[in-house]
Amino acid sequence: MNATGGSTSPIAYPGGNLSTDTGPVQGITASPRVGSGINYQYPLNLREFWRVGLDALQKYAKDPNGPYKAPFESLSATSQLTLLQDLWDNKPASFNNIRPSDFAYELTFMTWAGFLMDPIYGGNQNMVGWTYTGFNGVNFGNFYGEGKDQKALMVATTPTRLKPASLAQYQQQASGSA
Amino acid sequence: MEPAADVVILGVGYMSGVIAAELSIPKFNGDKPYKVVAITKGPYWDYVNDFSTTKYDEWGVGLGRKYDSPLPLQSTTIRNTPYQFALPVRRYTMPIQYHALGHGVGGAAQHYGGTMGRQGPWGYQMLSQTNTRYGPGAIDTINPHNDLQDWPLQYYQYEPYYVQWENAHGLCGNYNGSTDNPGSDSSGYPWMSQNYRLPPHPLTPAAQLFQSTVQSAPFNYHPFPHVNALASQPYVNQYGVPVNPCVYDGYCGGLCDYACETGAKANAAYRTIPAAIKDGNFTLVVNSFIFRLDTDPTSGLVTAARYYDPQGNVHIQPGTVFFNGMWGYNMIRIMLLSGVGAPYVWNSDPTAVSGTVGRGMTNGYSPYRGTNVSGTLSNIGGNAYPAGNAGGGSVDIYDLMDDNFNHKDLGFIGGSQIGVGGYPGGGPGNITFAGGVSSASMGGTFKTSQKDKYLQTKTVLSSTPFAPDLPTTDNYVDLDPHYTDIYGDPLARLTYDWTPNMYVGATYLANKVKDIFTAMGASNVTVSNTVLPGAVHNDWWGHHLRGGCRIGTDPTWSVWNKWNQCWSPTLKTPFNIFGAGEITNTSGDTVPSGTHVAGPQSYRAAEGIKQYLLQGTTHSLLT
Repeated sequence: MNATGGSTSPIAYPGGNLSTDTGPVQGITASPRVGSGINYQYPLNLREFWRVGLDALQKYAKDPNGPYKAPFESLSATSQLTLLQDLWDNKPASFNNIRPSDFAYELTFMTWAGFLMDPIYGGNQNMVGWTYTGFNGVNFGNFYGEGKDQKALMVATTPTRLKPASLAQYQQQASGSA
Repeated sequence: MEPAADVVILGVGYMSGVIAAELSIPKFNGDKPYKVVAITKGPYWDYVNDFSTTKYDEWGVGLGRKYDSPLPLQSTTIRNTPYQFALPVRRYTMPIQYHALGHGVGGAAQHYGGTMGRQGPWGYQMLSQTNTRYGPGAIDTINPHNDLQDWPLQYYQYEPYYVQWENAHGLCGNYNGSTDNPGSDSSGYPWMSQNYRLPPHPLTPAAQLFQSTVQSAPFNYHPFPHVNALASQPYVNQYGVPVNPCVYDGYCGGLCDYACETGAKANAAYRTIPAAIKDGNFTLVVNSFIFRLDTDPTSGLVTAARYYDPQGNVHIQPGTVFFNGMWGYNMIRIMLLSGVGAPYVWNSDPTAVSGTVGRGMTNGYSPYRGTNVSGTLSNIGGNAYPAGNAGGGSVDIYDLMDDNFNHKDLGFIGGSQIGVGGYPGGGPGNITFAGGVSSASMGGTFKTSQKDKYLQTKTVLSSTPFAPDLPTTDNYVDLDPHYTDIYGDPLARLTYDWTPNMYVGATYLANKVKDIFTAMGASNVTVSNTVLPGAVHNDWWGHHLRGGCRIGTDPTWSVWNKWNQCWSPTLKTPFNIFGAGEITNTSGDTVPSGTHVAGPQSYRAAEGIKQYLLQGTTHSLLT
């Protein structure tokens, strides 16, 4: 599978073959990328998908016949990581009728989104994620009076760290209240 | 029933904006009182109020798609071959279905990267030039089930229309050739009678290094600043619309492009529609969904457009002439739903296909993922957080494109525009990064790799060059038999996969780019594994569509004639519907901006509509 896009199997749909008058139809299998394009085809909205996936993940963790035999939150960090890798590798024999790797993708995507999106959505509290990665948010060089100019920053050969600013701060400043 | 209009415009994107200004304003339409009505399914965004404090929002823009056409309203189904069951796109997100349909005045160009670049003479005559230089039959070997055709006009005939387009929208660039001498191609860029309206944006250090490297031996190429439509200076266009320049805040590109809060990013909302509203006999109808065109049962002429208003009431808008400015699949879909033009009917035998609406579909640019070449410049770092814009900073060459090098025995035609050095912070990267996660994106070691990633101490060069996607009889658009839009009408169905020319060209071009990166002093220059034709499949609907609703010399394979006027069913009386967009591009090399190539067609259509209105239905525009 090409991680940056382009499915490595023909576009597909789970549920068997169709045939037409012009000949046999190529077998249809789900492209292993949940997310966008034609690749999300579950008859579940995302809230349901998460409920179903979290339940399946916990069942897999607690399975007395499985490798972990305990609730996910009680596992060691190493074991948690291994379990998540199992999902990416589609190791669980059953997973509430969704593909484990599809849930692994959503989980990983939302974890990073939670770390890096504007705090107005509830994650990245106090811009901890932006401070970590060196992202500026809505500070274009002078939010805190630094006197930097974006026209210079955009062609610089050495980077300049800016203290990040959030959308809420930006809107406060724009409305003259901060 | 609405009052009849002289011109009814479907959709209010880039091309429709030109028609609106050219036909509704007396100064531009020969002092006529033409009544022009334009209808769009989306709103009229106010860029100061709607964008300035809310656009810096990767989650809302990149995932929530708050400025884009909502998928529950309409989507498109996709399959690779005619033997498969097509599936609907149910979700936009990174990194695949990143480009959403536009919504409202300005259309998709409300949030695009602003890239432009003229198509050179070869792009207009790909079929005949290939047959002449490489022998008849060469194209059939390269492109099985070939459906490549020449344009109805040559480059030099479009040249004056390019100038009008560029002045209207404020393109930025620098033409290095001689404007006086049409025979001069010393810049490697197609001849221009006038330089671009505005100067280029400042070049990055990486772009300057690329420029000096490729200008020198052994390459001796002809680099030029990347052409774009992001105003580098304030100016006023021919319609009197004042334009603010770019402020380089960097929430411009990234894989998910951003709306512009200063109006520097050219589109109809910022360049043409304001003039039509102010100076023209012009009515704008927003939040209204066109679902059908009415036609006269005898002549087949289009008589009205039907639309739903926001309350779901049906309105009928009669008109004398119609302009189809809807984007891509929607342009095709409205015609198929309404019985306008001849629908394409696929057959596994390429000689047995018929019809034209939906035929000749290619994805002009960027959806292809294949052989990549990369390298690292250790002495150039930069700020990868938002600073800059999506179209400036870089330098391009056309030397590895078109027929600018000998393709004998190479197994492909055309090539790639190669460019280096866009602003590293031209667009925020967090939603892109999150959308591209894999099993490797977990754990403490990976997290450590993300520390200070926006504070770059080196520059990674990366290029995925490819040769043009060529039209075949097997790639097309029709109506889906299973899935519908919110009103119950069938969705457009895309049957498409990438064609061999792209891959074969990629293998050759990647090694050429490798030579350039090496000469630039990059370390660790690597060409990734070759991606063979058929190894990767298309799974999104793309955005730079090309073909599917082509202009051409022959009604058996094109929808529109050289005036972008629809061929009439009887071929006796000229037809009263015109259209222009990237989807009407007949063919093209991998010039990134099919928009720039479509632009001159909107001015052709405007001129054709003016002639049609002057001379009535008996005037033939075919001569």
